[in-house]
Amino acid sequence: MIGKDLIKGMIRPIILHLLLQKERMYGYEITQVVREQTGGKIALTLGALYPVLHKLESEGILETSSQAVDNRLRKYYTLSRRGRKAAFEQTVEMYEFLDALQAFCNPPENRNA
Amino acid sequence: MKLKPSTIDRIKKALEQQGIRNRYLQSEMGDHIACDMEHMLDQGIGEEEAWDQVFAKTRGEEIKATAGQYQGILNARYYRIKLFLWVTFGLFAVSWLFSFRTGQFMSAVSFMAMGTTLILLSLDFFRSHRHHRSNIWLGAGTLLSALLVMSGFILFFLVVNYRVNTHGHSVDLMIFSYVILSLVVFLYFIRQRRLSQGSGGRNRYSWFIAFSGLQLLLAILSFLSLPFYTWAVDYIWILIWVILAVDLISLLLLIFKRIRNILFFVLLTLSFMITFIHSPLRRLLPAGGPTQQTEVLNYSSREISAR
Repeated sequence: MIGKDLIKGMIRPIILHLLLQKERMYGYEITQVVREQTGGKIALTLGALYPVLHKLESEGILETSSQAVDNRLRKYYTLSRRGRKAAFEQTVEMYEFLDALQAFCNPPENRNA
Repeated sequence: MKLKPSTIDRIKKALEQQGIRNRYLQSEMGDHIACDMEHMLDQGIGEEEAWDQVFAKTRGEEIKATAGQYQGILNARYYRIKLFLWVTFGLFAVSWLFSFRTGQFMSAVSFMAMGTTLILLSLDFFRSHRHHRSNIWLGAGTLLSALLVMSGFILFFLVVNYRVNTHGHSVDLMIFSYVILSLVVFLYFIRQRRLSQGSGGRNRYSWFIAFSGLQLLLAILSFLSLPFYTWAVDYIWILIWVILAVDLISLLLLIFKRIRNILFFVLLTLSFMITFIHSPLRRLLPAGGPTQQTEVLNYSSREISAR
């Protein structure tokens, strides 16, 4: 499992990337999809996920709606119009970061060897 | 496997014990924990074991940190409203406490600031209409109250400074604004109590319902005194003193009990401002002596004799 410190800066682009793929999601659903897609290597905890979601909501990047499900209220997150643009930008940035990281870990001299 | 309602209540209580009092955060975290438990039950883990595992995984500090961060966002969200409310109260207090030449203009600005505070509140209701449809109606009511108090004070200002005959409509508009805002606040707290989870939240909203209900009753009585002015004229001072006393007692009790709500504080300020400018109490203050209120009463009595 990848450590919290490494994951920390990636939570925001991960959430935005997921919401670009799926119209609306709730908190627990996000943690489950991330866990499944990363083979359990990235586990978002409650304390790591919600502060980022709330921050994105306060910035107007995410919009929320509530729905009653099984005797409780469920809060769904969707991208706002402005949020879609931000999500595209963050996803591109995330891919660039991953490419840069891969290039760093695997420099040309190593590849030639 | 779905959780029993009693288990969901147990989760809410556990969150409340950990200091999560905000209803929205409580329901969101409660749903997260409930989903986690249901996932474990589906894997064949017993309910008690699932409970222990979930709460061992979800540490108390983590929950408290999330709650603290959420509160910070809420404070930032209401920062502008709080700022305008302080400006409103500050200008209003200064305009009566110190006898400046510009005192009446400051008082006018304070009412405009109050109107702006109400407009900001109404925008906040409109913005959160996705959570509750009724927020559209609450927002519309708050906006109407803002427009009424602003136009009411403009008429009051014209009467006092330019002797324009407004046929006493300045008082009508301001009291109508007070009625509308009290109704909005009362309905808001009734809804919040209905939706609140846990006894702590319900008790808190019960206090607000009692106080805002009392404000609504006083606002309706004030409004009813307008068409029946000739009969009520000798008793209106009682109503004025009761409203001012209720405002003060509500404020002290809320401070003493550490219950805070920006919407309720806005209602208290509006009620105090409208009542104070029509009360004899203001004459005791340095800037309250001039002919301001005397002029208004003269118009009113002329109207009464004309009728």
